[in-house]
Amino acid sequence: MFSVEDKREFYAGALLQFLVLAHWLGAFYYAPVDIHQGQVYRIMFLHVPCAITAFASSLGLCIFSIIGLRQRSESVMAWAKATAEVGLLFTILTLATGSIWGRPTWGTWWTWDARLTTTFLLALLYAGYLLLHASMPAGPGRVRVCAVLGILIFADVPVIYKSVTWWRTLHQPPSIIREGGSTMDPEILWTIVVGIVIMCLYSSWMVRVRGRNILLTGQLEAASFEQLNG
Amino acid sequence: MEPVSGVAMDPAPFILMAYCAGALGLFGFAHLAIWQRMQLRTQLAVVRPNIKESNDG
Amino acid sequence: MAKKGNVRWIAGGVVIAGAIVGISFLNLGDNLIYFYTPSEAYAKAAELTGQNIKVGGMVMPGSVKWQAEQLSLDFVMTDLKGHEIKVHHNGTPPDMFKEGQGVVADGRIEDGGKALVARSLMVKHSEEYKKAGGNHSSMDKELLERSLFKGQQTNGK
Repeated sequence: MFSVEDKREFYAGALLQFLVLAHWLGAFYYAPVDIHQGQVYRIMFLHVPCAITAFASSLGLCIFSIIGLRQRSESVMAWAKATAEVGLLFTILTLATGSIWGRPTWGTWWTWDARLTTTFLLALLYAGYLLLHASMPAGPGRVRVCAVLGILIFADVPVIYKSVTWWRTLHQPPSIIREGGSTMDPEILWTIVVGIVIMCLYSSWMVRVRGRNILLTGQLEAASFEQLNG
Repeated sequence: MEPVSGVAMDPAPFILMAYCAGALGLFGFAHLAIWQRMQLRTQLAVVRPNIKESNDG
Repeated sequence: MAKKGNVRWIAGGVVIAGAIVGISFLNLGDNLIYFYTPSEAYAKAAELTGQNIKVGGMVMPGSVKWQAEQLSLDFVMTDLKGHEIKVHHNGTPPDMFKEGQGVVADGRIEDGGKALVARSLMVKHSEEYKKAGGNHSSMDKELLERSLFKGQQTNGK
C-alpha cells in the first residue's frame, strides 16, 4: 500500500524533524547569552529561519506558477498550492514568534512599521491565493488566475527585505548580510545560518508531502467520477 | 543589567510561547501531512487497487 | 469556459494583485512617517501639535528620572546632533529602556515641539548580537545612530 517513495518521505521527515529539534537544542546550549537582550533573543533562532522560509516559499510559488502557466498544467499547480500553504504557515509563524519576541524587547506586541506591515501583507497574499484557489472550479481558468497571482506575490518579498533599509522602522536592520560584515558573534551567526538551512529543507519536505497529497486527492476524486460513469 | 523600572521581565514564558507555537505549527503541519498520506493510500488501495504505486503527475 | 471569460479572470486577478502591492507602496511612502526625529518634530511642531505622532531618538545619558511610586518617567531624547526633546511617560518602560538606548515614543507634542507626552514607549534596539561578557568591540551606538536618524530632513534649529 505504501509506496517506496512514501516510506522514503516518512524517514526523511523524521530525520528533518530530528534536525530541527537538534538545532533548537543548539539554540539553547551552544549559542551564548546575548549582551543586549539576555536569553530572550533565542527566539530569533526560530523567528529568522521561519521568515527566510516564508520568503523563499514565495519564490517557489512564483516558479511553480510560471511553469504551471506555460504548461497549462493542473498538476504543477498542485505543487504551487502546497507551496502557498507552507508559505502561509511560515509567515504566520514569523509574525507570531516576532510578536512574542517584540513584547519583552521592544515593549510592544505589534506596530505598523514597514517591516511588520509588509510581512503581514505577505500573509494576506498567501491566504488570498488559497481562497482564490478554493473559490474557483478546477480548470484552465483557475490555472491561469492562480498562476498570475502566484507570480505577483513574490513582488512583496524584496520590499519586506528592504523595508528596514528604505524606511525608518522599529524593526532592526539586517544583521547577517550587510555591508561591513555581520553584526553577530560567530557562535550566534552559525546557529542562525544552520537554522535557516534546516528550516528551508524542512519546508521543502512539507511542500513535497503536501503537494503529492493534493495530487493523490485528485486521483481519489477522479475515481468516484469514473465509477459514476460506469 | 537592571531595567529602569527595577523589575525585570521573566524571559522564560516568552521563549516557551514562541517555541511552542513553532512546534505546534511545524510538527502539526508535518504530522497532519503524513496522516493525510496514510489516509489517501488506504483509500486508494481500495478504490483503485489496480494501480500499485500511483504515478503522481 | 469561454475564452473571453478567462481573459476577464486574468485581468481581474492582475488588477487585484497589483492593487494590493500598489497600496502597500503608497501607505509606506513618505506620506506616512513611522517616526520623526527630535529636530524634525521641532521643525514641524506647528502642524503636528495636537496630533498623535511618534518621535524616535536616543535616550540621553544622565537625563533619566524615574519615580517608582508614581510610575513616572522623564527623560531627554536626543538626535546626537544637539537637537533634543523632553519626554514624559506614565507607566513601566520596556526592560531594555536605558540611557544610550534607542527609543520611539508615541504621543503628543507640547511646548512648541520641545516636549512630548508619551502614551507608549518602544525600545528600538540595534541589530548587534554579541556574547555577553566577551571582550569585543561594540558597534551598538553607531548602528543605532544610523538606523534612528536615517534620512533626517531639516536641520532646522
